Amino acid sequence: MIRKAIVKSFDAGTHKATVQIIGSLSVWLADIPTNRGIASGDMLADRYCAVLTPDPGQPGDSVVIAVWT
Amino acid sequence: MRTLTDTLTAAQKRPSTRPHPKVEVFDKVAGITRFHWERLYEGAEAEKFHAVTMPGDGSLIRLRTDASNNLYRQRVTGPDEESTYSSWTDWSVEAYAVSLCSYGANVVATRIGTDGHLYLSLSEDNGDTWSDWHDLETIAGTAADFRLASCFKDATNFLILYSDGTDLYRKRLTLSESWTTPTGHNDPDATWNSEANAYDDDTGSRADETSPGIGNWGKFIELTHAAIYCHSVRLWTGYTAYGEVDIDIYYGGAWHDLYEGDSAFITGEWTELTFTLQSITKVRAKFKYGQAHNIWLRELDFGELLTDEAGASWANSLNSITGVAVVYQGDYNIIVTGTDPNDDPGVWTCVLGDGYSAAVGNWSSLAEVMLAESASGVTYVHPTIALPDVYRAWFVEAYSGTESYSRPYWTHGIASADFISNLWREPVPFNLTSSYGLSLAWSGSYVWLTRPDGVWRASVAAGSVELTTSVLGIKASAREATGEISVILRNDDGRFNSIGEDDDTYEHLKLGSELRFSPGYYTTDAGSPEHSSGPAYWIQSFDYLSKGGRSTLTVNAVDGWGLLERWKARRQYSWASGDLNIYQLLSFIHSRAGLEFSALGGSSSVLTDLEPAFTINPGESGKTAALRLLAMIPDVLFFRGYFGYLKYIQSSDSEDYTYGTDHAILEAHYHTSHKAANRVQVNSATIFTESFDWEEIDLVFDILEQDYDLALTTTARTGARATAIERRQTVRSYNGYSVVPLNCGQEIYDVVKLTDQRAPLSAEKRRLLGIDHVLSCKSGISLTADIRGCVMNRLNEGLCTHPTAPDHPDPPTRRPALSIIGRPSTSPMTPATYRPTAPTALSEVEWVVFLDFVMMDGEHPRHMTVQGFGGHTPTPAPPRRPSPTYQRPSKYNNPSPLTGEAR
Repeated sequence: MIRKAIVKSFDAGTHKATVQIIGSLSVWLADIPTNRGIASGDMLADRYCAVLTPDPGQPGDSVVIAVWT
Repeated sequence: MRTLTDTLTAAQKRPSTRPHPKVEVFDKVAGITRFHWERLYEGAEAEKFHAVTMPGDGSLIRLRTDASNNLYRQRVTGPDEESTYSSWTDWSVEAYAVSLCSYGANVVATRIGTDGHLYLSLSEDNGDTWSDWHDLETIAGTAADFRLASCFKDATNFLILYSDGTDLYRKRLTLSESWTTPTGHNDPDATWNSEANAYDDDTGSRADETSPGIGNWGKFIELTHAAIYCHSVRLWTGYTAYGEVDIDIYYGGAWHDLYEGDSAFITGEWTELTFTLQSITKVRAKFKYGQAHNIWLRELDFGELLTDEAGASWANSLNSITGVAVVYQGDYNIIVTGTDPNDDPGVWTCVLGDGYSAAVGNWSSLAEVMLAESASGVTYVHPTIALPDVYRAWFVEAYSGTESYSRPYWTHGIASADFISNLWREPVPFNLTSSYGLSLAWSGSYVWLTRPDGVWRASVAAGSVELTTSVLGIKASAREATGEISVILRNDDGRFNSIGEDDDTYEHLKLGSELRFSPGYYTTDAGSPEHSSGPAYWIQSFDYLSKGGRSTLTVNAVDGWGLLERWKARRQYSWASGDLNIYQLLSFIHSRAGLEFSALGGSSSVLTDLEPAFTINPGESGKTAALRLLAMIPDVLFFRGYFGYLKYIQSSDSEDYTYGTDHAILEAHYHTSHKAANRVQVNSATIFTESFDWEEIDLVFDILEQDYDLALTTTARTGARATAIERRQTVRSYNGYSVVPLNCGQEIYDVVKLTDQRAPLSAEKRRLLGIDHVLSCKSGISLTADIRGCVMNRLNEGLCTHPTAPDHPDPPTRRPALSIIGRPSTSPMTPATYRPTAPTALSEVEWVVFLDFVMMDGEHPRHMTVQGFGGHTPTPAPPRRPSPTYQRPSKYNNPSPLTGEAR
């Protein structure tokens, strides 16, 4: 499953992001691993991103695979 | 299977029986009354802190503050739509947060003064008159941030919760009259002797004063105590007759007259003097002598009314508290808004124990109701809570972003759940803009919602109406993960033209209303007809049909699965591994849809052992989320009314009912296929488990199903998962259906034992994976049940005219003849007449097993297509005339006899 999200913050040290899945106004997903091919500088807050969740039940198994403005 | 009475069981087994399906509609959703708020007052008062309560006389007591922090009160006796809600009494004090609570005639008002003190005032006459304000506590901090809540436990005990903005404190108080002995004395003029005898609890001893002479006043004797809340004193005196008495009490830094006048005191008895509740520290008395004898004061007591404890902080931690509310039921049940230690805004519940869910005085930990990110712009404030029928809570959700809002939301608890379980339906927005929220109270048959400029009222009781006498037809279907019903009602006289309108007979027949269908029979019991209540549905659409001079209304409704489907996650829900087990996750999902949830009988070990990481994505339905969880366990879910039940199905389950012996099988189809998968591989992060059905692999080679779940961290869990998948495949590899006379208590996932000599089938256990009820008052009533695992049960209820059908005042006591037209694939078949009889006559009906068939009612043929196998849902098709070229479906051509393994 791939869902569209908004980057809320990014930790360049762990290369993990906090993202707001579209539709979830108040609660976000934290510590989502991010594609190492995405430069830290591209993970700016309020940019759109795509979150791939191989197992829809397990957010910890998700990864940010793309980011765009 | 639902339990049936002996008489109802006997009735459904008889070949000749009159069915009586009962259909009712309730103004409820998932068993909970649906409130219809009527606004009785819309004023111009500014929104600020406010509170409401309803004491024993049913009056509406309200408090409000204005922009200048002036406090006002209001008492409306016999509140209704004609009452005046705009008249307020200025209390001449200032306040920030306020609260009200009541029990019987006692009403307690508390306020946070602008000086940061906590004050209390008591009314003992339903809010008509009030005591002076009493300073209970001095609170450190910014008074405007303080919050208040209060509730009575019983007639004498109540609780005040107050917050200094970050911590929450409890103060338990008791309203109980007791006589308290003074602890000291003053004799300012040194005229009294043995003063301590006046408070030694011995009416035989005495303090006395030498007479200053007839007609002269003596001097005061003062009796003292640390400040206590009193509303009376009593004295036991001697030789006071014919004189005068002057008694004062000390509070507020000054003496106040309590009594002065002729002595009516009776020597040798207690004399009691009452006054409005005051926090007093001293009482003094002096006497004017009417005779030469010394005055004796044998005893004096304080009439203490209110005792309290020092405020004590709670055991939880929040960064800020923006609101608190409390209601008593076994414990003090609390809802609080604010921000957590991460500064994330939220709504939480907790319990201050009183011995029910928590030990007396103990705090439970905070449980989340709502949560938002600190930077999301969403905040929560000003909750309120009451218990008119179930826990009803309100709070304000505010959003500061684009298209900002500040809107009340309401929710309710699940009826059977304890408060500490923290199971709440998804909060629902209320059509109002509000910053300070709403206050909730109830009395008698109404629940009231208020704020300074508004008063709303709703009936607590849910209205209902029975539709049985209007029923022309019913189609009800229960399947795995779905259930629905359509009820066709006569409308030839326009009786349903105004449904849902106030004061209409059918005003409760509205979208969302609860529809209950109770199969039943006329029986030999005195209470006949008897029914098996259980199935419940919620109306999602109406269809009016005008055709051929006939007018009908069809009510379409869905069962608990439909309510699960209707609930969509408003936000991202995430639980880390170890947070909740699968049972708790399913409980949460059910509660958000307003549904009850429990396990019926035993449950699998993984149900509580497995605590997977889990998320529900925004927009995802509860049904989808529940099915994802159910895929992890061998247990299955079905609905009985508004209860979702988990059932641990096992091949060793004993049968719930038997067909083919004393309960006829009218028609059946038994189908066997290979499994959709006979080889299961389960993968987790580090473990790989595989299971095989070697017997079937030998026949059809391996058919693989794979599962991947990071939560499976042990071989036991991966093994259990493989077993669950294999079991599911096994159950679904045996398909078919049967048609039997209506069984009122049959439910999906029941195990039935089938005996059908022509199959051949002898006492074979099968599990029901679907049930259909079909009633037509023209052609009769039938109940169809889908069997999978080869079990099946398509119930055909006799084809007798519905006893309550219109135009049929004298329904038959035997099922009328059923005409069946069928056509095998190779040779035409002439119409046959079939009369359902005892099971021994099975040979008459078994030929219909492999046929779709058409029932003839002599006027309007009705066609039922049976597709109860191979994963299809048997659904009665729309009425049509039988096709002269009808061919038996090829899938029926080669039925295989079943082996006898229990499934």
